[in-house]
Amino acid sequence: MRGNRIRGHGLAGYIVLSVFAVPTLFPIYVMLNMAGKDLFQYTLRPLLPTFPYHFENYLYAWQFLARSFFNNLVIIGVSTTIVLLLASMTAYALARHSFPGKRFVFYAILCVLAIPATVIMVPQFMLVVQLGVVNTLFAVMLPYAAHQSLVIIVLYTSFSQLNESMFEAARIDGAGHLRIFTTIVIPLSKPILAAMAIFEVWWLWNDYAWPSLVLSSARLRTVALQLVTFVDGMAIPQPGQEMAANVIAALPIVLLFLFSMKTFISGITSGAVKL
Amino acid sequence: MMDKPQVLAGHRSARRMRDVRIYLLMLPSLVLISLFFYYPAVSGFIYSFTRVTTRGAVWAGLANYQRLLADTRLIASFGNLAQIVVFNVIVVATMPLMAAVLMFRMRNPRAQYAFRLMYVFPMVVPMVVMIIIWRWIYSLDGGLNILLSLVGLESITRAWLGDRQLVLYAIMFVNFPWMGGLNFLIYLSGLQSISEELFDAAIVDGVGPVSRFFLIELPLIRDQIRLLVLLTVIFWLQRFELPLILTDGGPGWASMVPGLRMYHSISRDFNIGYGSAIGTVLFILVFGMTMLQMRLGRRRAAADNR
Repeated sequence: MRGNRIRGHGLAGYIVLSVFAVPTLFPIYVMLNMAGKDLFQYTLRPLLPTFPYHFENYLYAWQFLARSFFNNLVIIGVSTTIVLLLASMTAYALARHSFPGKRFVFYAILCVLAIPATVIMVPQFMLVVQLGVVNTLFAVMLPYAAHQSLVIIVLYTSFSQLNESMFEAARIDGAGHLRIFTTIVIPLSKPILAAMAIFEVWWLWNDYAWPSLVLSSARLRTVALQLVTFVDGMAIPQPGQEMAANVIAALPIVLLFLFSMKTFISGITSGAVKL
Repeated sequence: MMDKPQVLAGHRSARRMRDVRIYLLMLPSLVLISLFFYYPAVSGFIYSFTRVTTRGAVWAGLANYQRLLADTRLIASFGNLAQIVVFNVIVVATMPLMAAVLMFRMRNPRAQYAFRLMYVFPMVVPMVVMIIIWRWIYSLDGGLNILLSLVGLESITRAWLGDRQLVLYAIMFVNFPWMGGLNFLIYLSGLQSISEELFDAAIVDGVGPVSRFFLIELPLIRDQIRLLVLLTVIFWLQRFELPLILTDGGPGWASMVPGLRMYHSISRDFNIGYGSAIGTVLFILVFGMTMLQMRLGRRRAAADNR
């Protein structure tokens, strides 16, 4: 790493960072540790590790979560696909063509970034009521699919940097938009598309308030909703199973992170800064 | 680049065809964005002047805004929000910055990588999961009370989220030590983009670790600090999941924030007009901050191009 050749061996840095790493990771320890406890172990020693570790808690939690995992899969799969497809079409049009009204379209998309999605929640709710989709997965998917101006702007920047000579050559060969799009734009933009896909999945997996407003049926609940009801809706609280459910809910994003660390970080940072 | 006629005879019509197709490419995005962002932004403003009943909206003039100004509990919730925002601004300008600077200065790349991983990890765990864990930490037989009893402080153990005086501080204290995640990553990448020659020159000049921070690192990541401060303000102005899941604004109204009150206008009282009025006020606040951020961002981009 650069910038390391300063005097002093930085021992203080190691100490400070190690000390603060403990509370930083404490909630994660709490979750993993508690997820393996039965009620007796929990009552006796909630914080220290106990043996045996009850893996069957995960089985119970999974039964409780399975349906909501399926709902998340549908919601996030559909809305991420729509966002990436439509946003890259729009970004392609804006980045590689000039046409009357281009500035207007560009600023219309840019200005959406200044409209806080959470703050227009009430009229958005009225809208999904008027569209008659309240308490269906569409009520969640439609606003998610519409939340794409950020992705358009990021893709626009990336598509603008592609070399014009390739487009020139393709056009001379008589290639239409579709062929240019599928043979040049998409293949050359895979990294940024992957980063945006990860950003979408991360962000949608995190969302709680909107789905909690528009989904009232238990069978439609997303994972986040189901987690909160797990605690609120239990007759006899089973903290171990509850935490096991939390571990399972965190797992998809954790795996996504571990298998694509670089893309994950670049996706989240480029996305969240403009969110 | 539009003037590349393939067939000279049909030049005009071919060109127009292509234009139409370009608009068609953008149409789905524009329809969705207009319907779910521009339309609600306008309709919410209109709703704020109405009373919405099951039979439709009735014009109510400024009644919602009058109620808003007279609603002492709502005004108090703006006070809560202000405390939360100020606290988080102070935190975001210090704690993750410290972590990033210390990590940036590590010599051993492997140690640096390990620490980076540890401090990024809280961002990877979904927010709702983190909030549920913190709710347990704060509960009567939860982690915080256990730790306090261990060090002999049984006397101050309590149900932290049930205490009117302390609940707001408990909400601020979530995610202690506030070092990990996105903020820290943004600082770190800012530090890593500083030219190495500056540090070499500093070594030649015999600059110590403390002056190095104030003379080089701090001035050169001032943009990141400003960006994160603004993002933090915008985030807390509109996000309310934390009080929603932890306390639902309680006990009483002790941890209420305006965003949560707006959420309750749908989920509890179905008072669309009043909720829209609160939304409009928040909208103006967030919009102002976003404009500020965009302007600073543009100025920064202009400075970079120079």
